[in-house]
Amino acid sequence: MTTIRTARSPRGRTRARLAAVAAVVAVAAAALTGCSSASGDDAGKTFTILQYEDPKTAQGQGWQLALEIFKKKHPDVKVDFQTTSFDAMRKNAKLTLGGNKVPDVVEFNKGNADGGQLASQGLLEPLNDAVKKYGWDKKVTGSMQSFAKYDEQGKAGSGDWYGIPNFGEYVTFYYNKDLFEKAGITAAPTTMAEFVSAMQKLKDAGITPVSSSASTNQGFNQMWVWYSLVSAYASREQIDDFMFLKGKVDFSADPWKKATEQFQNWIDKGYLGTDLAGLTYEQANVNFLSGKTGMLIWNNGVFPRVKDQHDFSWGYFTLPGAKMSMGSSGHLWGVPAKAPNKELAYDWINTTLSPEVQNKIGELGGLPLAGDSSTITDTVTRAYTQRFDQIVAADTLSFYPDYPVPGFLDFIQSNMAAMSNKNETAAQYLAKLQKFYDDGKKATDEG
Amino acid sequence: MTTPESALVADHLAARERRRSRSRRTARAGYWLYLVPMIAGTLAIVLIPFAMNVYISLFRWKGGMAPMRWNGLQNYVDLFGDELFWLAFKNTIFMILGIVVVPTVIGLLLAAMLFDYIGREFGARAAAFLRATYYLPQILPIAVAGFIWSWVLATQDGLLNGVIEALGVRQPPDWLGDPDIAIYAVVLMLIWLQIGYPVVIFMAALQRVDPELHEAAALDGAGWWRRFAAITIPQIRPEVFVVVITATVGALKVFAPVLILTGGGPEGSTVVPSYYSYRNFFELSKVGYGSAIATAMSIVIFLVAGVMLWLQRRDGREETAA
Repeated sequence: MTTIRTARSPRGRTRARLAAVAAVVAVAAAALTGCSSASGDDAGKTFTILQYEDPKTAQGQGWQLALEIFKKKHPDVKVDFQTTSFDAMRKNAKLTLGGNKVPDVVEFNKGNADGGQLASQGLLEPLNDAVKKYGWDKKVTGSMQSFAKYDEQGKAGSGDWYGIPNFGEYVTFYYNKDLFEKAGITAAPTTMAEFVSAMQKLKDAGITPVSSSASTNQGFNQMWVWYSLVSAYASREQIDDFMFLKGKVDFSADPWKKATEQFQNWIDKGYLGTDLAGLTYEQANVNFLSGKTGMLIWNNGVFPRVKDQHDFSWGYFTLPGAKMSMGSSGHLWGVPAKAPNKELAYDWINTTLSPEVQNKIGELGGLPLAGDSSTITDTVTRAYTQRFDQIVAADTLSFYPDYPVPGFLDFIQSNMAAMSNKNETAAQYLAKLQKFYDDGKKATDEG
Repeated sequence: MTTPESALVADHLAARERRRSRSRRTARAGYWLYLVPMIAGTLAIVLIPFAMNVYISLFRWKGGMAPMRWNGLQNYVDLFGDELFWLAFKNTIFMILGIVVVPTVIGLLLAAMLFDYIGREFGARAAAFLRATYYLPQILPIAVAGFIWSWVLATQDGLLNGVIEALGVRQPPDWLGDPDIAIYAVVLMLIWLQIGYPVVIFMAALQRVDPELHEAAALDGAGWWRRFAAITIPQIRPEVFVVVITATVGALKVFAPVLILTGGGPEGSTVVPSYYSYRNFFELSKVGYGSAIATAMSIVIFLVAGVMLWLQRRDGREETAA
């Protein structure tokens, strides 16, 4: 079988290219009106930015500021700030970047399945020179660089720079201090043992300890609990091997075994609630916000909501006693290989990383990568951002578990539901995980 | 006897005949011109994509610019050994239950009731109003319907479980979380979605039934059920066929309700073939395998639709013969 495949693959490739080119031409034909490219100096140029952050978010507002600064600096350039959606960008990225009228700078999703593919297909410009020139590697450091770089096969973690992140995200346990007090817990736990005992106390007091969910349709909390436990016992190297498809990962060994068994134990003890397979993360959020559960595991996405909507006193902590915690860099800025105004694009990226813009994002709770947290006026937001800075500085972010291979998210979700329903044991899950991961890795390595 | 005149006339007639047949031929060629848009459309929308789909299903391919690797019939061999694929087909039986069987039966009864009873006792307006209400779910965007049903079926604080708990059941079912019953949750939503379609068609059909038949039967002492079974159903049989065929094809390729309500979960228990094909195509980047599923699905749909059309035609012939 292998010989046949190798023998025929060149022809297959040509056909695939022909088919792909035909598809691109067909779709692009409709958009082929008024295609113009100016040359010479900046005067009369149109600079196109394509991004998908909601203008109400911290990032969106930061970029509005960046836009003002950029326009002042380049008064002769007409700036076209286009907004699309995350899904539209994901689905159309190949057509957008491969067409004839290409934006100058785009926001795109990180990971092997998205940014990695675009990079390996030559649709994005390598940014190594610009990184050196502007010193972006001083602002984006450690694990924040991991998803900015992709190799020839499109695997993240090493290779050339293709994207520049502006901000990050991390996962914490939000907790309800009133319920903790009611259950007789006087202080936030600082070790794993204290954390488990706090869950037991909440359970004994008739309170669901952790608000969770495991629906295949948007029930991500259980997956995060599980991967937080994996991260708790993992080293940087183990996480990187798993995440960046480096070495062989043995899921029957620790940290996977220990974490998954503990996860099953927590399910059996009822620490994570019941009937989870039909719940979504939104329902988990609501259950916590309405004071029904002691804790909620989620990232900074829910931070402003907890801050503004709580009617109980609250706090947050990363899983106590953990070696690593979940989180990663955010979406990336990249320059299409066909972009007409590359120098302006680099200047735009540099503007978004400027102290003014970064501090604006920080002030609004958007976890900037190159901001000065001490300038944040709101004390809660400042402390929350500084905790993130600590984790970044310690280089202990473990990313999200569904990044490494295509289709991983649904696979993990389905098994989280099975474990939550007690239809699958830790050992059974780990065996399936091994197979799915190895198959996916093989497919990725094949290119 | 041939006079020069008659020869001339004959010549003239023959020439006219030739002209006519030529013009008939050109006219016929002209008709083909009218078919060109339809043929082009069929080619572009149905035949070429289908052929490409079959072609792609013979490769291992990640899509986009990735290389295509010849795989022969291996995708199909894998398909036959794929448990999830068979589960997806098994779930199709539930889809047929929720889209064809239950709605058609209830639709028949509802239409007859609206027409015979509500329409007579409360006026045509009341019947039309109720008919519109039954049809409402068909107009709602499926995304909205999906959200409504995820509230109805929610395990905690869900509408349905609220009712069940009020009836005194301590442990109401975990509709969307239990892999053994989630498929019934999907069926419930499908019935609700589908019911308006047969009702509207059957009510229109009932207008066509000669009222004298009913009157005569009633005079002979036939009750409502008897008339329903002996007159109503046989009279509107063609419409029943249409509903059953279109709904069956719809059931075989149902996609959006599953995507929105369960995402194929919990534990993969509500996967249907089109959703499984989509998942392979877009999420797992197994484009060849996804195409193989789509091809298999098309073949099943062709077969089922073919058999049903044949049955319908045979039924029609029998009726004319009788």
